Amino acid sequence: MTPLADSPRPRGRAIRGAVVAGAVAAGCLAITAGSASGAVNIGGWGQIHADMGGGAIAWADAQPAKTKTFTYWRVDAAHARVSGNRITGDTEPVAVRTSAGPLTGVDIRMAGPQRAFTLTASGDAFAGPVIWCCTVEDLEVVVSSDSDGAAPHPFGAGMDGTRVRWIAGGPGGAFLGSGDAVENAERVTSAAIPGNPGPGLASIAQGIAAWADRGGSSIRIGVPSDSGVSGIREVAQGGRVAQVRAVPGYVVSVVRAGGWRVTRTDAATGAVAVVWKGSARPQIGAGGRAIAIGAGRAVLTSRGGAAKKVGDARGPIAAVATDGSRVAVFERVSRKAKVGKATKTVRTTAVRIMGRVR
Amino acid sequence: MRTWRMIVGIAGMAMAAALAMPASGAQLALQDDQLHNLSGPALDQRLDLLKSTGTKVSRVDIIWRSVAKTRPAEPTDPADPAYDWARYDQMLKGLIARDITPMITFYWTPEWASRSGKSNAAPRVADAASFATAIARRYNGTWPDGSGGTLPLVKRIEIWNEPNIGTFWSPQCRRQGGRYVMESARQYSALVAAAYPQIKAVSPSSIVTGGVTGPVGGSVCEKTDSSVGTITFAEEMIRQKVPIDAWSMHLYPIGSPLQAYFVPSWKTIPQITRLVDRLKPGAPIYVTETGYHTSYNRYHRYFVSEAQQAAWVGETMQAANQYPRVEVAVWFNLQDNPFWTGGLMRMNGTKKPAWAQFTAQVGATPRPATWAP
Repeated sequence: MTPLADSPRPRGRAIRGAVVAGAVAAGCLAITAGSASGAVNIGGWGQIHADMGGGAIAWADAQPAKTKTFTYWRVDAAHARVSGNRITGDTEPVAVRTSAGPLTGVDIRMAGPQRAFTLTASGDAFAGPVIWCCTVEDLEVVVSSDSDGAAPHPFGAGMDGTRVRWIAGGPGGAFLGSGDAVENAERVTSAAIPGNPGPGLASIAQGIAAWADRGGSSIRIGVPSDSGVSGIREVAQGGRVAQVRAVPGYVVSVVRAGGWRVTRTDAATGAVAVVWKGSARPQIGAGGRAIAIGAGRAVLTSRGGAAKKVGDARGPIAAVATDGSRVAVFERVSRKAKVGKATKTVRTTAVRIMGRVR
Repeated sequence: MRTWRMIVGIAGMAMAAALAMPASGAQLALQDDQLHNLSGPALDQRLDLLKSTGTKVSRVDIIWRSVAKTRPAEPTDPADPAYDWARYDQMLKGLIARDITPMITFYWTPEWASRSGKSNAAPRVADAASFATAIARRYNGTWPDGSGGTLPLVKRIEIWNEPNIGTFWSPQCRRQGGRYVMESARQYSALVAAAYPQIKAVSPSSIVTGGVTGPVGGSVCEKTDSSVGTITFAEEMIRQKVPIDAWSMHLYPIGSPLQAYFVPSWKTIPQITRLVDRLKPGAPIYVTETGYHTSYNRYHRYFVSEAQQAAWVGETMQAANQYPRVEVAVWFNLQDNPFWTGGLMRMNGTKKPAWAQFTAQVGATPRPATWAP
């Protein structure tokens, strides 16, 4: 008898309905968008990761979802168009939910036309998925997903040509993974790379990979391909590297060296420039030859030299992003609102375009 | 890591033994969604693997569009030459031979019966009811097997799979006067109402099982394939006075089985039971799919660790046993595939910690006489 060609039963997006119900039950606010106001409000004060480029912005909001009896963890990724200083047409196409533990290793990057982005979301003790979003049918591509306790953890992903690449680490060592951004993520490869990266310490962009060891004081920069990372250059940062962000041509790092500093490392020459120093850990964004920095409520930008202030946020800055000309700020605000019969303080994270890169 | 897994496994077995439930408790069962893709020796090997889990009950998918690739002239007659039952005969005989009680579900509309040509198209009532009748006739315990014996009796027949989700039943909603209104529950009710007497006529001992709802909470008809919530679906079936012998539903809770409370989850069983009583007082409830995924995938965005999955096999049975009306909880699935990572085994064939927990749990649970093959 000829075997049937039936595929395993994809169960549809059934859980999405349950998740929505769950989110409502948990009191989590979804995006309250603002196509009318040109701004977007995200419920809560989650950990925000963001990127901007190609006339679009993408962000991931990681926070615990506290229900009446238990807590689970969620990362909601969204993307929207940016037109002038307005953010319009936001959608929330990817949502990662887990009870395995907090999602601490999140990275989101713009990844091609149509507001596409890559997303990784891992925990301290478990691996999370590498996702590219989305096809013309608005379907996400899960390029890698394995929560086996021994599975490598992806720490940073990005688009390089037509390939989604990600840097992962685990018991078997670090590696660069690659896969096509198409249905079923074909041609998945992996190649070993040196080092011991961790959350926030790996980043991929067009033609560039950068990563740092946990507790390390230098970054590695190289050119990614299916066979690994070539031309690796190790560049000292003068302190413990806490975050790296690669963009074509350079790498931005957050470094702990007494106080905090933001460095810009030229990929071609390895030259390091300190563009900002301060006492509190800053938020960073990079794109289009520019760096955006959020320090407290101050928003600063740099095109290579010392960062200059471009404005103040209305609350503590959760994240910043830039496409090289504009700066998007995610600011934590609170307001009094009626919740049922009671008046409560409602926390939201407002997303708005603030000023231009100087 | 392997050592850790072994510790989890041993601890899980010990916990399962401690939680061993009384004979009157729910059955823990297992489905293998690969069975209908196999035939011949490969199918037998797979059945042996299923048997090795210790499960005493299993749910079988009958793929309508595979059995009936062309329109049968006599659709209620299983002997119609358009039908090809070979692998299902082998599968169901193989399950019985291994002392596993099968439950049947059928779905995926054949092209000839599909308005859209797609397999998830809502079937015409007469076509689907006739196919249900053919299944009931063939597996009523008297149908000749072609080698001097008879094919087994399969008592429990589920009408469709997750008819409240567009993936399996489309459309869910239709546009009417500038807004969308629910369509699927009404059409599905008509199917069950038509199939019920026909099945009973050819297999009086059949337990016709309706609902089979997917794990959807809220209902908002805002497009053609919006999902319809379990409660809403049941309420419409009540309005349509649909005859059933048992209600089935699928639970994939967010949170542990004992803590989750979103609709539908174990804690909401009493809510469902009240509705089921309005369909048929005292009707049993079958949870014909439940489980937890151990990695993210597009279709199921909630996942847990493998250790949690193992622990929650035991908790699933604890939760099920709080509700005497729940007779069975079918763990879905035996093995992971790219679309489904809730298996007891990984895609590479290695066993997750949940395997040991599952086998310990079913080993401690006698099968009630009413569930004997």
